Amino acid sequence: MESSDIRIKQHPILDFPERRKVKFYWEGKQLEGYEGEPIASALHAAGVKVLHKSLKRGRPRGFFCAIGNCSSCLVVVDGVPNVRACTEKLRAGMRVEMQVGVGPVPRSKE
Amino acid sequence: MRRTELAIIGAGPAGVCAALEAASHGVRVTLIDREEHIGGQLVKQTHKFFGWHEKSAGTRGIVISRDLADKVKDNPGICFMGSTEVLGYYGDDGVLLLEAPAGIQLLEPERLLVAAGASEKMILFPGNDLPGVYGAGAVQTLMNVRGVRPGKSVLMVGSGNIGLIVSYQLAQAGVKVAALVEALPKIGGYAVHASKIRRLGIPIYTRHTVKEAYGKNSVEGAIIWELDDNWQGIPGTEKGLDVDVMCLATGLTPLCEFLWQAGVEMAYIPELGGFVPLYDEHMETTVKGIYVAGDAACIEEASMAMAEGRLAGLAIARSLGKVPDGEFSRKREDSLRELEELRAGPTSEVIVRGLAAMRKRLEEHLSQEHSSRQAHQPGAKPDAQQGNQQRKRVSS
Amino acid sequence: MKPDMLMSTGVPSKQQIDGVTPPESRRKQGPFVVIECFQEIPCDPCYHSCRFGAIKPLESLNDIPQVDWDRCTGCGICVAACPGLAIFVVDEAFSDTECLIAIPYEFVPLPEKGDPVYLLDREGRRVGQGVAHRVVPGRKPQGTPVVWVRAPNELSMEARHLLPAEKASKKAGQASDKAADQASDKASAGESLTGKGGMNCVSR
Repeated sequence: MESSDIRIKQHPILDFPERRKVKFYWEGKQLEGYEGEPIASALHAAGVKVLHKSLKRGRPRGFFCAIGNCSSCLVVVDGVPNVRACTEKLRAGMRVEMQVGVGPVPRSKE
Repeated sequence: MRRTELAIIGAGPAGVCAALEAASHGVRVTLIDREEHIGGQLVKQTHKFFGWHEKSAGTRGIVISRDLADKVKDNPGICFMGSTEVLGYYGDDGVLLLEAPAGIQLLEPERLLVAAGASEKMILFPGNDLPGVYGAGAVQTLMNVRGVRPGKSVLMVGSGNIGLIVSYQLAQAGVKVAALVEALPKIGGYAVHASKIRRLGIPIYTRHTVKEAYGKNSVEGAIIWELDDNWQGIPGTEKGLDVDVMCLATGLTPLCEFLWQAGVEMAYIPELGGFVPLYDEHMETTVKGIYVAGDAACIEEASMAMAEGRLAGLAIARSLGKVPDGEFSRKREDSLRELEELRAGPTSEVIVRGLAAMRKRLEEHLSQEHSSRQAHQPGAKPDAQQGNQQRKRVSS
Repeated sequence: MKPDMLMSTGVPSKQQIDGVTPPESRRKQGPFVVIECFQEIPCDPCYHSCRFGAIKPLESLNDIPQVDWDRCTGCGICVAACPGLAIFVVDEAFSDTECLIAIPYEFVPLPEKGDPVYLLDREGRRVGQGVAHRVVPGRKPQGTPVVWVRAPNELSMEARHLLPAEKASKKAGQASDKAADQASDKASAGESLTGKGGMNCVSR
């Protein structure tokens, strides 16, 4: 799907007004999304489906429930692991990484 | 520590209707939801609801949710805590642990209503963990709330109302639905919903299921096949589908972790969606002062969840001494009749059977409890003592 | 027990459709409602939507609506009110060759008056072409738009969905609208000649 097609513009019932676009990083690459939307929806709209690698077999994982129930979509946000991409809101400059297994222990920079 | 007369977990249709009903009798309510909005999953329901004309039938879920949110905001008796997750319920102290935007908080309610809704069931097939295999509710959230299409072409699994409705909504969002498969020989949801998607040209394959989903990093296609009378796939009937999304609408199961934690008696009743709490006709569980409503009690339509919420809110207000006898019995009768009529048709037969099974388990549990009490506390005032002990769990 | 056709396919049987079609005499008189609701579900908005009392009172919420043909004016209010989008209005007295069908249409783009449309049957098969004769847009978010299509007579009880057809020759302006209409009319007339014959044209 063309990335221009993935966001719904015309809908018979709903309106999706333009919101403020912000830049964020996925695996070091700069992407754009709407401020305040969940990370998972910004990534999906940017064509990213694999958010997590499973603990034992390293199998790719995406979101499944999209409302914070299932924890299939855990990512690392600004060094903090186990963040649910489907509920965490997108902020400008956020650095989001794919989480492998349980993810890294968050460490302060000093 | 903050105190409240009634804490409600979940601001969906059941929780909000309970809050409004209880607050109308003067109960101070704290309504908690992990989302920032009021309305729960109604915010993604773009279809019009069934039920009574006077009780929002014919109105889209998104419109009902706005109306409910306005009523909550206008009600000084209800404190809505959005973006707040309930981390646990500590029954011995009768305390809820909350993670609110302001930080960790404790809340001590006199009554607790669990209206936490449901989660989606997963089914087994090779590739079911691939990205691109999504819950039907997730797809609804993505497209109807976030405005993002899930993909180009979808295989829908399950013909209950959710599978049928989400197929229609995918088409409305301009996404192709390649097929809908249903393992049973008949369609599970309402015929009108099924007819709606057939007119769009979406094929419904009954007695079919998913053989596998394949793809390297995400779904690149799926294979479906026909089932025989023993639910086994029939070799040679495989059909390949060029889809990048699979949408599972294979049922919901109540979210009742807090009830387990509170020591509520639970029973496995498949007709109601899996493990459910035992509760009486006023939606009160086996732990006095803890109530349940909506999908957390049994998986049903939102119309029923709203009616159950109103009934629970009324019963809770009554238990707090805020509803006079006459008013209570009148409103109680209205609510019970409303639920009975909503469930009177053939589409609710399974639920009615499940509720009867649940009530039977409740009676068994109560009579067991009664006899064990008599055995252990001869001569004591069993009712009062047990009642007080249990009540202690929810009130200070 | 084998489930019936409706519950195994989502498509109502001919007997079911015949059962909700008014008698021949009533069909000739003008527009009538066709309520394709065959399953007892808890629902009553159609009854409340009708200003003429043409949908008989429901004894129970789960009752299937019944129509009083003498009272139904074919106004189409109930078409947009039915939560199941199961109600249509058919006018077989519209003209000698064409009928009108009111179809609830919750899709974009909504055709404009005069646009050619493809007509689809209850299985989503393209069965002919018609023209959007009148378009009643619904107000967002609650409304359901209703498109009244002109269709070949023999499709009056077949066509139940539409798709905008290519507007190849269409440019803004009435003249080209008319051209499209005429082109489509021709196609419709052609189809009704080769078809089974319009129900309205058959006199007994």
